[in-house]
Amino acid sequence: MAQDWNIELVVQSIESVYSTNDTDKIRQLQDYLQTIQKSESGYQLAQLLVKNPSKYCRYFGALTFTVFLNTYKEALTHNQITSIFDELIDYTITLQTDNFDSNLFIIKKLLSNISLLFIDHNGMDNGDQALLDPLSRYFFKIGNANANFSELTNDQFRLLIHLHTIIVEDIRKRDNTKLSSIHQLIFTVIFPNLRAMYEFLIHYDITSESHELHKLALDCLFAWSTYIGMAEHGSQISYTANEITLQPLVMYTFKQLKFEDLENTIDIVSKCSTVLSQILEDYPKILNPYKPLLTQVLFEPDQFGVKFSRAILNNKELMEIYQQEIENFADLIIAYLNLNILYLARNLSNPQVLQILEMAVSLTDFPGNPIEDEKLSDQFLIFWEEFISTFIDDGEIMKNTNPTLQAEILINVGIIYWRKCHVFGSKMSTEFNHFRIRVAEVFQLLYSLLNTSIYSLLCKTILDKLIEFGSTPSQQVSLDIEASLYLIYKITDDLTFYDDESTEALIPHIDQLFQHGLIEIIDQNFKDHQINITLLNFLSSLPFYFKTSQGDKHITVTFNYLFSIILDQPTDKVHASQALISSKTILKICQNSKTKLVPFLPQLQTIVLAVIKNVQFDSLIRERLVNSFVSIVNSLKDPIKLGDVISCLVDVVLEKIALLGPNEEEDVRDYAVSLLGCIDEIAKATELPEDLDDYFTAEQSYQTQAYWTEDQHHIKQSILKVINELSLNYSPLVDETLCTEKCCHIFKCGLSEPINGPFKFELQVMFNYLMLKIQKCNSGSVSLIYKLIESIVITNSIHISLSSFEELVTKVFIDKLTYIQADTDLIKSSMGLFATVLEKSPSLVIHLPLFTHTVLKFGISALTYNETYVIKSVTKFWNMLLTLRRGKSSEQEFIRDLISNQFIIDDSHPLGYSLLSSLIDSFIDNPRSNTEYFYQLFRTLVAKYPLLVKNWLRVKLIHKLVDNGKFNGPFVDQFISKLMLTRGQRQANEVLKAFWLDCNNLVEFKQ
Amino acid sequence: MSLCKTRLQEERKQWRKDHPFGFFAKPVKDTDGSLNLKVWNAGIPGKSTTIWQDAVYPVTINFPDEYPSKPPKVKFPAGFYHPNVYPSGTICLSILNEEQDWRPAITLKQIVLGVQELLDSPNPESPAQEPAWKAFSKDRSLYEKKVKEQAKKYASADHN
Repeated sequence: MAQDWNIELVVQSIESVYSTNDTDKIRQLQDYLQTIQKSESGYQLAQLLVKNPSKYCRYFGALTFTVFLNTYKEALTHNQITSIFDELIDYTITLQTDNFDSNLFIIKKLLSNISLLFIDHNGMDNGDQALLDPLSRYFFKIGNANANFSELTNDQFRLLIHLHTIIVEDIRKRDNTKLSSIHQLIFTVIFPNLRAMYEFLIHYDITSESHELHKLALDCLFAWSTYIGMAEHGSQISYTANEITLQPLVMYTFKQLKFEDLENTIDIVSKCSTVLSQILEDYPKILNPYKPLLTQVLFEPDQFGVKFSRAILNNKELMEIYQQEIENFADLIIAYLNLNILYLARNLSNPQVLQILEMAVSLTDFPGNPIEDEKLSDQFLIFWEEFISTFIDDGEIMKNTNPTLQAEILINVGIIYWRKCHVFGSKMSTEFNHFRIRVAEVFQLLYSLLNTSIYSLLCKTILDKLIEFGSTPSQQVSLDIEASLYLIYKITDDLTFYDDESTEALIPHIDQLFQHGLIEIIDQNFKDHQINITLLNFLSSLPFYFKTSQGDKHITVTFNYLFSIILDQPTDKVHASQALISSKTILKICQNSKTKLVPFLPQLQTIVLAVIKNVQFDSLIRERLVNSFVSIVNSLKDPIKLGDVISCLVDVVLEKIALLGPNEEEDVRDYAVSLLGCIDEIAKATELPEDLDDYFTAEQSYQTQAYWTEDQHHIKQSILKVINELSLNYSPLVDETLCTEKCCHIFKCGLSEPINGPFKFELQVMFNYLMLKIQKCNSGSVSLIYKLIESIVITNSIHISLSSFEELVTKVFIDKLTYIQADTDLIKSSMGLFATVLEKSPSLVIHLPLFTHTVLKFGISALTYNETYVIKSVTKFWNMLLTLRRGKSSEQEFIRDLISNQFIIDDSHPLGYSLLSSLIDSFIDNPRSNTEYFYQLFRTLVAKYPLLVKNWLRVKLIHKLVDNGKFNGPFVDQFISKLMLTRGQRQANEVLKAFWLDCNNLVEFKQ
Repeated sequence: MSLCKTRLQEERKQWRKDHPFGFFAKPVKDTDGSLNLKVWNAGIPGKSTTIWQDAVYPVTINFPDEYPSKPPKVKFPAGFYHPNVYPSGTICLSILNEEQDWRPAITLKQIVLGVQELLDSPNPESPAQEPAWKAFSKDRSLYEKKVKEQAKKYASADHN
């Protein structure tokens, strides 16, 4: 097709590419054009297109040169290369002469092609001249062979600058490990011209005509400033060894940093700032010899930096018009500060350093709201964070620092950021929130350095403002309090994060706030949304304070405030989140200060009962409050009081259940699950610690045991009633996995209790429940039921009677067999259940007829699955059966007989053969990632039944692999010998792995 | 100074300089009050518009002596509900696996962003716990309900 093209059709296609919106058509046209571009005609096409009147075609022509040069890079002869090189320069000059600005995008592409040839096909000739020297060729072609810059037209000059820029930008895109000779060439061929160009430009004034040219010159410097570091890293070339080398470039940049005629030159000043920032951040070595000059230009009175910063700080109009330029200047100052941070920190008393820091502080305090009006305070955050960290991390600096001066400077910075983090506007933006968090991080660092002085200062502000509010209430006071509260919350939260003694020093300061009625004043006077959020967050960081004798005096007012947030029935997302935080805070305070909260029990009970009854409350809040309340009651260690409270709560739950009705709406279903959740929280809150002797006295232990054994209020029955009503009788929840999960968890809570308690149920009671529940549940619930049975076996196996267990297994497994076999998850769960029983208490099942008749067959058929979970579970089952670690010797014998002699699966082979046969089939069929789960079972078989396994293996493998011609007899014999030689030790894994690879025609990939 | 410690100091510096919004990460303090750079506590915010939103999930990051040759171990609290989190809380993520995609150049920022990404994009091919994996694969409404419930548990103040 590439031979069939004609220029008219190509031109038409190019125009269509740029004019249509039909993406399919564009793709189709691009395919067509690319085929020609990549063909041998590509060069001819490029020549035609670059002369076409259409701009699109000319650009496409330039692009086609690139494709051609890349495609035929290796095939081009030297003559072809020089000819194309000259040709490209000619086209560039033609386009420049025609209309430079309009053709600029095409010119840039052509210059990029010239750069491509320069980089890919260059070298030095015998006379030490570059084979391709674009600059001398260009000067020659425009009739300026002496490269006299003053003779260049503005457009010629601009083209020249573009060429200098594009060459180094293109090199930057390449792998620096292969560019050593190119760097040499650039240094020898291009750089002298670049240097001469800036020597000329330094004396070339900025006028309206030359303005654009100077901007381009600075862009070019930006490109070179990133390139020079690359060249020095990637070659022996050094631009920085001698300060003279780069002097014209650097001095040119400095010269542009002038304050005069700022309105006309601010864009140039801004570009200078960007170039200098780039150098300071990326390769400061360039500026090393000029550091004193830079310091002088930026920070000395009457020099550019000081004049500029004064002007922008005092002129609102300038601030608004030149935001980006001001930010670039700030970046330059920050880059300078960061580079000299250690010097600044070590020489705080030096007047010049103070002058420098003074400017940093002034710019940080840039007028306006952060983020919205100004970004400088945000930009400076990184510097101040680093600056403070320098003092924290470097002890040596601290030794030689004047602490008063240091504190003065940093507190000044703190005050600025305190002001800056005041909330403004009706809604806090995400960006401003981000800014506040970062400000808070600066304060956390300030606390690490200045300790409580900064904390007490913030607390004092709050106290003063609380007093001021009493006499002259205003919105500003509320904002001041909020900002301080926010910062002390963040510092406190940071300290509590480490969970150590560091919060002790805060207590007197926090206590003062409470003594002066912090909560009351905010609660009664400030309906402002943000200050309430901040107060709530602050309270959430204070559980350590409420544990103290000072703090417990303020629990009442705190609880009133926290509960008011919860009881306020949140309707939107923000309030809902506050209610959650409030409930978490209450829970934390209750768990930390149980005994101190006993006087609150009557009020708490009223609230908790109201919350249980009200369907509108969030489930988690309801459950947290129940846990909080019961935790306090439980701390009394009085079974009668605990029984009364549980009885009362359970009765309320039952009342609510009675009112549920057959409503299936989701919120009602969620509420019903949450009622179960409340019972679950009671169970969690009353769980006894492992070491009972340390918790109860003998008397308390006896009373508790006696109380719950008698259970005169039939509390356990009521709890069971809740469980039965919701999970068995309330149809919307019968098939709800979450409901089963809660019920099973409630039962599980009492399983390990050493003495009787509200959740310690008779085993038969639980069995009866599970036998009923299995009839009325979804498949997701079955595994939860099995898990609970496993827990019962693990914790209480000695109390389980064989007959009851047989009845249970019959109901939950045998009767559901068809259902279970249809779902791999259930197969996995049931195998897991039997594996646990065999591991912990094998006597419960191995003699049951159902075990030999059904479970073992089920275990063989389960081997046919490839799901990882099933395989893990079923291989564990067989391993447990074969090892029977907790089996008596008679039971061991029984199993040995089953494996060796009993024809359970088929009439012609013993169980062991059937197992091995299915195991081999499954092992070979399973993916490689599952093979490791089979190894242990093979090894157990080999170790326990070596002779039988050897024979069974031979019979099986001859039948499976030799009879069908896949492998020969010796292969099978060799595998069996290798496997038997391992005697079931770890080496068997490798033998089995190799066998699996052979069977699946795969080889091991070795790294 | 060991490579591990040097790198961790650099990570701390970089984190201070630039960390993604809503995340936090701090080395823990030893009993003597000094910072233990090899153990960090961090918070991963759930992405907005996902079922994980409005919460910050706590993780512990343990750096081995061989770091950065070997990856850190990142753990949520035990019992954390997610298909790729083991019952112990350990996160199963290829960039945290020495045998898979771990590279010494991976930064702390990339790790926590990777964990955040994993929250709402679990990999069902690498199940680490049964309940969440099963629900994610077979009962999406149960899965979402449990995740949302967990999000409420870790509801964050800074998202207000």
